[in-house]
Amino acid sequence: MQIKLLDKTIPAGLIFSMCTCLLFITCSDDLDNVTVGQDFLESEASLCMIDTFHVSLSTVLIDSLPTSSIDSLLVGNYEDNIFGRVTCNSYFEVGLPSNTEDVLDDDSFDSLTICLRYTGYSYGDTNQLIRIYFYKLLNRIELAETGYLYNTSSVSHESTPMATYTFNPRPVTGDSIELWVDDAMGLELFTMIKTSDERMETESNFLEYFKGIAIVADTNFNGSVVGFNAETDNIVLKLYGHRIGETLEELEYDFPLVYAERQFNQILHRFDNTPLEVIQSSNVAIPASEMNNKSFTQGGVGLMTKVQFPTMNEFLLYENAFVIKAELIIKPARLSYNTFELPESIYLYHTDKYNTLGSTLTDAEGYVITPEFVYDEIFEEETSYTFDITKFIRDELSDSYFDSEHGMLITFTYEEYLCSLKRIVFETAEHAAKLKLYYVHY
Amino acid sequence: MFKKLLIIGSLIVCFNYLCFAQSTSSPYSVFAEGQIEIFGTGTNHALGGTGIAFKSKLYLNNLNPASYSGIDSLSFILEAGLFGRYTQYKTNDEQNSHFNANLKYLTMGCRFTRWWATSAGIIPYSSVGYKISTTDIIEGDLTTYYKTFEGSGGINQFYWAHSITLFKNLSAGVNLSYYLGSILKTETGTTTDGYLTYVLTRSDKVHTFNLDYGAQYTLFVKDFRYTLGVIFSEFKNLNSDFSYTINYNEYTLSLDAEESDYYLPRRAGIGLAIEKGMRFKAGFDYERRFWPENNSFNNPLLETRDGEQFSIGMEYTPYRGRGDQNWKKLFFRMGACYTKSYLIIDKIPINSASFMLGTGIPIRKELTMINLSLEAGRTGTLQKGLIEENFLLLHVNVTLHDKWFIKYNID
Repeated sequence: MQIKLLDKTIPAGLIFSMCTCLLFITCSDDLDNVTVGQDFLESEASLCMIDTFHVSLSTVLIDSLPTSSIDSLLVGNYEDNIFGRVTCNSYFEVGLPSNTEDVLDDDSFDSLTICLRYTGYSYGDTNQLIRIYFYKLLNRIELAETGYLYNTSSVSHESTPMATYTFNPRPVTGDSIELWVDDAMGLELFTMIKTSDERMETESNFLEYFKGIAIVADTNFNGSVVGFNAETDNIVLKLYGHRIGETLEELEYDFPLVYAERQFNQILHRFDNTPLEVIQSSNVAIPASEMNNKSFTQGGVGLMTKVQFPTMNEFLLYENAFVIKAELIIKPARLSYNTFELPESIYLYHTDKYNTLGSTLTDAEGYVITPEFVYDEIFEEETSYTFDITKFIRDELSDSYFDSEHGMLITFTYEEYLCSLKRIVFETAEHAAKLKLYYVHY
Repeated sequence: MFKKLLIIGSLIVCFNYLCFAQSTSSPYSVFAEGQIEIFGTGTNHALGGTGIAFKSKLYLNNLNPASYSGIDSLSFILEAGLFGRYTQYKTNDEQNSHFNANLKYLTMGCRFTRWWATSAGIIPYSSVGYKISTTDIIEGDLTTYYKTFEGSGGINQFYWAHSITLFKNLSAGVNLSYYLGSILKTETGTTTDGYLTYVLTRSDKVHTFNLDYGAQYTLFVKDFRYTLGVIFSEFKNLNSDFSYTINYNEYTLSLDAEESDYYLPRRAGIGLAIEKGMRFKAGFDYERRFWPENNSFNNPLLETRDGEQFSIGMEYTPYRGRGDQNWKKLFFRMGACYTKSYLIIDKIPINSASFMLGTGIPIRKELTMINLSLEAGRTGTLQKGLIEENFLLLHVNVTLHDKWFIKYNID
């Protein structure tokens, strides 16, 4: 038996190679989405969300905040029934004018003023009058061992003010204030310049004589706290005089603020008749339940809301569950932000059972976590801050033990909590603070 | 000869790496090692999958290792097959279709001595290929998220078969097979905004050696040749190196999981063939795969049973001798196949039936042939929300005869 062949005599090898090439070209591994077949599929994992882990809020008064070297001078007094009374006093040193050599014997003294420039910052009601007193310091301003001065520091001053100023602050529309200082002191300084007094020769000599200035707010005036620029040279004690020659010549000797690191703000609080009055000592977390179901954060004063997850350890009982995302949702108390605008950004800082302020919380890439802010202008019910705290939760769970002492302090940026009185009140009534835990369960 | 070996060698490598057994795209392949491929070369396919009782002669028949005793002495046969498959998936509610094409197998055979013939090749044993999208709801949040199940891979069988002619009418064969495969199954869940995502990946690398046996007994009655063939292979566990991981956010964790239950079931088959010279042959095969009972592959909806396959096929050529028209040199083949798969899903057995038509086109003196076959079939059912797959399968395979040892002699 013999199979005769088709007449075409194509080499078989060629055909085979062509076919093989064709095969490789047509190799198609791409699978279209088939939507049929899901009914008998056994899913091995699922996404779940749980928001029943308790979020506990408490309020901590940080014992002392370093308020020196922050280039901002706060002075004034404000009181309401939520945060109580805040009084800001400020201390700084002034140095010598640079033109004392120009003085002539016939020059005469006119006046002494002090000039301060607004930073634009204010807290409280600037339509109300405030009164501030300027005192000569009795002692030099000395830095603490840490190299800082704190919101709790103080320096004793003379009992009689060298100037008193009652005014309506114009932090936004105004540029600066300039006010009269007691003539007696002005004359004394002028005479010292004229006589080339040795106290005017060097700055250290001068600072031994004129140890600095305290600006103290009168607590009888409930108005506002105003920020002034405290960078070197921005606060000036101005000594005016005149010289009669061929024409009348105005003379001006500037005693500028020196050593910004020794300028600091003393921030005093009085919590009487507010929910905060239960605070007896600093660095103790007072649960919101003892504060009318609220927690408080305020810069300057050192009030911070502490967030803890006391029942998070229960998550470790969930077998085969991995946290994919953890969202902390906290809501400001209703009606608490009518007078004071809510800050758009608040920050979370690590803390421990001693309530020390640690570093800011970051996400997995190391970026500082900022919240998503929702503002419900009409009903105020949905106003909330949502933080993605996945990394924090996951880190805490990673060693199979969730230390509920490890929590977070809510406050503002470093700069804001040191040199502003920004404030926020959080609600802890039911469902106000929530931890939404998204996890995959397999 | 060295060059040819090199070509063959590289083809084998290409086959394994470029187109690794991705021959299925079927939602039914989500279970275990996926869909068990119909064994056999393209010509076996054209004959409805029959071959237990056929001899390898003009083309290789790898359904029975005893068949190689039919290879003409001193000739070398090389075969490669590819397929293109168009599948339509249907449920009561929806319909999808898919086309895929790939290399299917590569095999070669030759006779060493009067009593010893051999064949070696690669052929897919099973394959996994699916991508199924669905939605789910975040428990506790009532938000919808997407879930996608994907599977790929399969198990290839590398075999080296030996056929020994014991007596004039009786030959026996053994297949030394190495099963090697990797199966990757993933489950992906992702929310619409993409913030929450997890990927559950199960990767199995399986391998094992196995033997299967076959025998053929031939009886000559007048012009007809009757052959009885049997095949058998023993149950064998597939060794699996597996990894089960979950990936969420930027984390990847290895999870504990039970080892996948992959195995080769015990297999037995019997075939009958009747042949008249080269002009006509017909065959009937029955094969049974014994799956252990109550193996549910960790899926409560899934049960297994013994898989069965009934095949029938015939081949005819009108060629009578020199001088016939060219078309008469063609071979015509047809067949039918009914398969009861090992799957019972939600109490519904998954069966398939198909019909084949094919032709063999001789090309050159060395009996080189191009074989084409078209298979039309249906798998599954629409009951209980299951899937019905209607498919058209085109097989193309090339059989090369070569004179490797001396010039080919025709008997």
